[in-house]
Formats: sequence, C-alpha cells, structure tokens
Amino acid sequence: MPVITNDLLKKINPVMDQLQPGSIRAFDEQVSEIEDIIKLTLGEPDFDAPEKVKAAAIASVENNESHYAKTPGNIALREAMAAFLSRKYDLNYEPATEILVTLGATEAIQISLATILEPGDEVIIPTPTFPLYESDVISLGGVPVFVNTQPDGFVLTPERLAATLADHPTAKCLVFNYPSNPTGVTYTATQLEALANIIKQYDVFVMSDEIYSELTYTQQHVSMAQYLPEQTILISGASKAYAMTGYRIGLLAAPAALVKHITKLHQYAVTTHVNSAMAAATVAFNECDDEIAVMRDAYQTRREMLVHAFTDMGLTVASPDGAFYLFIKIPAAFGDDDFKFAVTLAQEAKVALIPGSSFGPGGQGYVRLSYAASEAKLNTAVERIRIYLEGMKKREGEQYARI
Amino acid sequence: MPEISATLLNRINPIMDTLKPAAIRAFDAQVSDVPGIIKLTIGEPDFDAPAKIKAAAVASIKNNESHYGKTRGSLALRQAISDFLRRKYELDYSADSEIIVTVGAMEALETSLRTILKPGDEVIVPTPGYPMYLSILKSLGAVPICVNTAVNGFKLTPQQLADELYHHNAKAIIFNFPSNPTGVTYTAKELAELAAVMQQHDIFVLADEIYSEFTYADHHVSLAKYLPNQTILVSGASKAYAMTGYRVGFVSAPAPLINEITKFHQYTVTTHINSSMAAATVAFNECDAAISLGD
Repeated sequence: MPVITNDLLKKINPVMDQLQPGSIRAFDEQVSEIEDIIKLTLGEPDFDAPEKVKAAAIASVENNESHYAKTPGNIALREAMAAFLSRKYDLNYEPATEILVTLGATEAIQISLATILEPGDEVIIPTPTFPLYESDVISLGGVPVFVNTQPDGFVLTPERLAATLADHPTAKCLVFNYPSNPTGVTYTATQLEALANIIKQYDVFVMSDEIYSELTYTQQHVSMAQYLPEQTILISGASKAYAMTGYRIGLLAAPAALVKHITKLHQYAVTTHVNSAMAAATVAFNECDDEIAVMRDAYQTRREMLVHAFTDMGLTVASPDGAFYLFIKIPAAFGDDDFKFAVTLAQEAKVALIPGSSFGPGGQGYVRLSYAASEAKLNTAVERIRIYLEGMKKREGEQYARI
Repeated sequence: MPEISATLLNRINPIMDTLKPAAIRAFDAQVSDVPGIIKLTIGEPDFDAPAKIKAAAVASIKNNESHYGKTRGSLALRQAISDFLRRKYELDYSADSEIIVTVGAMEALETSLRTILKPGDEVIVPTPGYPMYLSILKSLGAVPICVNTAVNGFKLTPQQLADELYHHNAKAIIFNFPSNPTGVTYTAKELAELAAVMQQHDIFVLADEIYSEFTYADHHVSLAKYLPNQTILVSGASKAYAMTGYRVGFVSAPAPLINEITKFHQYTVTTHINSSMAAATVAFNECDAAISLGD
C-alpha cells in the first residue's frame, strides 16, 4: 500500500484535473449495480468474432508469432486494409507508406491529434459526439470549439461550417464522425461534397472518424477522403464491423508525409500491435464481407423494430441512418434533464441508456440507446420502457384528477 | 495516393520535426540488408513463449473473449501481477487500485510521463540509457537532464544524484535497472542510499525494471521497496517470459496516481487485448520455472 504525499500528488500535470474518466463507462458502471438491469449503454456488438478470424488468431499464437512486429503493423494487414478501403469506398492508399495499424480507433485519434496540435490550437468539434475527442484535445492543451448540430437534425450544414470557420479561421483541425456516435445520423455524398468544398478553402486538417462506416442502413457509406484526400486523416478499424472490439484493431490512413510523423508517436505510445490480433484482422478485412452483411442485416432488423416501438410510444428519434445507436428525445415531463430521465429509467424500468448530455452541446434532452445488444434484450427493454411510460402517464393523469 | 499541401504539413506540431523514429530500430533495419550478417541488435528473446502461455491465449480466443476488457486490464491479470511482485520482490500493491495493465512497458512509460509532466518540466535521466526516454520526453516538451554515469562504471552515485537535484528543480527521475544498454544493476545497499537522497525531494521516480528477472549475480531488488510512495514502477511480461509480441506491460504506483494514469490509458488504447492478458496471467502465475531456463 504505497501512499503518495499530497505535496507530490499536486505536482502532476495540472491538465489532469480537467480530465475525467470516460463518462459513458462511468455511467455504465454506476447503473451496473442495479439488480436485473438491462444495459443498452455500450457500443459493443453482441456477436462473437467470425470463426475464421478466431482461427487466424489461434494459428498466429501456435506459430510462435510472439516476437515484436513491425512498427506500423504487419504489411499483410496494411495491404488488407488498403484493399478494403479501395473495394468499399474507392479510396487509394499505399499500404507501405499511407496506412498505420493502431490499438483501436482510440489510439489513432490520440496520436493524430498529438501530432498536429500545439497548446492553444483550436479544434472544431460538431456535437453531440463521442466525448473522447474533447478529452484528447484538452489533454494536449488544445481548445475545443463546439458546434451544436441539434437544430439541424444533428447534421453539420455547410452554412454552419462556413460560419464556424469564418469565426475560427486559424482552427487547426475539424473532427468529423459519421455514421455518428451517439445519433446514428450519417451524411450523403452530396452533403459531404458541399462540406469538403468549404473545408478546402482553409489549411485545416480533417480527422474523419468513420469507424461505423460498414453499418449504414439507408445508403452506402461515402468517405470524406474521397472528396478531401489531401487534408483528411481517415480513422477506422475492425472493432465495430467485425464484432472484434477486444482485438483492438484500429486503422489510420493519411498522406505519407503525415503518416511518417504519426508513426513516431505510435512507436512511443505502444511500440507496435499484437501479432495474433493483426493476423485475425487480416482475415477480417480480406475475407469477411459476408459476415459483415449478416451482422448488418441483424442490426437493421433491430433498428426497425425499435424505431417502430418508440414511435408507437410517442417518442421521437434522430434519423437512424447508421452505427447501432438511437438518439431518443426524452418525454416532455422531464424537460431537458436527460440525466434525471436516465437515472429514473434505470431505477424504475431497469433499463440503462446513456444521458445525451454526455455527448456535448445539443445532447441535452436526449438519451442514447445502443442496439448492439441482442434482440431478446432489446425486446425486453422495449417492453419495460413501454410499461414505465404508461405508468408515468397514468400517474400524471391521477395528479391532474386530484387537482 | 493523397498528397498533403506543404502549407498544411507545416502546420503540424513543430516538435514533430525534432522527433526521430527509434534509432535502434532504424539501425537494425539498415544493417538487415547486409548479406550473411548476424544481428545482435534488438532486445528480443530468441525463446518462444512457453506452451502454457500460448494455450491460455488460444483458450481466450476460442472462448470468444473478443469484447472490450476492463479499462485497467482483467482483474485476474492484475492479481497475478500483484502476487508476482509480492513473491519476487516483497512489494505490496493492490490489484484493485494500484496496478494498471498497459500495452508493453512503452505505454506504461509514456502514459506515466504524460500524467506527471507539463512542457518545460525537467527530468533527470542517467545515461547511457534507453533512447526512447529522451524521445518521449521531447515529445512532451519536457527537458531531459542527462547525467553521464560512464565515469562511475555506469552507476548513478548518491553524490551525483544529490548534486543534480541541488542544481535542478527536477520533476522526475527515470531510473532503469538492470540497465539497457549496459546490463549494470544496483545492489540493495546502493538502492537504499539512492532512495535516501530521493526521499529528501518531492520528486517522482519512474523505475523501469522490465529486466528485473534477468539478474545473474544477485537477486533483483526493486526501488519500490525503499521508496514506495514516490515510485512509479514499470515492468511487464515481455522480456522475462519471451512474449514481447503480446505487448503486456504494467504500472504499479500509489492509487491516486494510478487513477490519473488510467485516464491517459483510456484515451490512448481504451484497454488491452483479452488473449494477451489471458496469456500473461498464466505467465505471472505459473511460469517461474520457464524464466529460469533463460540461464
């Protein structure tokens, strides 16, 4: 039991006090104590990794690939990633110089921002969004500039982007995440092109986190890199599409001159990735398009069931184009207090959803539901929410009757 | 083949141009082309990981442990590390609150240093030392104070340390033993004397003891035994168990520091890979005999 003195503890990097542990995971742990709770909190596919992916990981272990891999990841995997990006999104990245294998999209985001940001640099972040971007920017001494997209149906419009860039012409980076966590909203080719035309007018990096790109339900995903390859740092990975979050395979694609710099921080951060996980991901990117399709169909079925159910309950949801999230407007009785609604729902209906304000400006008054959970769980959750809302209405009615 | 414009490329953090890819790996890559060369360049055990370690990784994959692990690493592994530290070095670290599993000792070093240092902070680094210390410090805008130990048989002396601490308001010391590159290590008496000097200052000591299982003269003694309240102990499974590619490192430190380091661990990698953690759990729990084969 080592005990640090307060004087010494006070000497840590002062930025640490501004940083909080991930609020999603914190809320998840808080509600985990409730008995019989159904958690639709984490973006974690309920599927197991495909069999041939597992077989590749096992073969790697058995073949004693227990030694250091190449710093940017083994070339077979980088080739598989390049082929995937070309096959799926018409993108042209050179495996040897323009692709880096990272420990999840998380590491790709961190080392990209660390490479480009100096203390004081502004980073434009459309919200509501995944809170990690803000934490990373703050930890690097950068300044987040939030753009609330809620008034526009959670879509960043060219007008709003143009106005923001005009107000912050020296912003160093724009963070773009779609299909979006937490809203599920995505962008069409036309929308992207309009945004790209504005971004082109500035010397600004675009960090485009497209980790949910394989999970779109209304259209094929189009990458920002198709319109803006010179300025884009494209981030993706195997976690969500192939149900292999635990393998921690992230992908970063960018111009070679930039990848060269980012690779240095990758080396400082983790040296290199784990061989068995890379062997597994190579098979995933090369051979598992069919497996993705099966999982995507399952998500689509769940999504339709849920949208129907919530509409039926009188609740509205943001346009659920992709990822596996529904962003649900909370009942009017709770006003904008999504935290209170989420806690009440967890305690009384035994269903855990993430309060929308965890995702920044524009998230208040909403909750995020992850339908990466099994269909059985989702059905039970829907029933519990329905019963809770009906009870709530009834109680409200009785209150009025007493008045 | 995307091409970035020169003006945009110029906007990256200017520190990046001063950072170099690891010199050791660069040299290794350069000489790899020489026909017939025998390379004794990289700190990479030639042993394969023990069979039961591999079996644990395979079982984890077969059991579909493909979902997110706990942020700080599986409790089973943290318990195994806690037991290992107690059994081998008589250290007392709680698996719950005082240990975090990292992606190699490298992540342990990087996240620990990032947690304590702000730009401009001075850090004492005895040299010759592992060059990555200087690279990481540079990337964080910190200022290394290199202390040449060649004059004392590659050992930092208490007098030398006291002098440096007198002249510099250093935030931390990076202390690596057994040492890469010299192989030199410290006796219990020498450590106690250095710890006595360190104790007089509000200073963090990042003790990189990744080679602790490879001492050939005396049994390894950890700095944390003498200075638990100031030590951030970094180690891992890579070197001792010949499992560098599994990338299992750890940090042991006072709980409030682990809380802070955990934030950066979460921001950097979210969590470790389950099959690697399952393998390392067996390594720390059951492979003391395999380490001795390294004789």
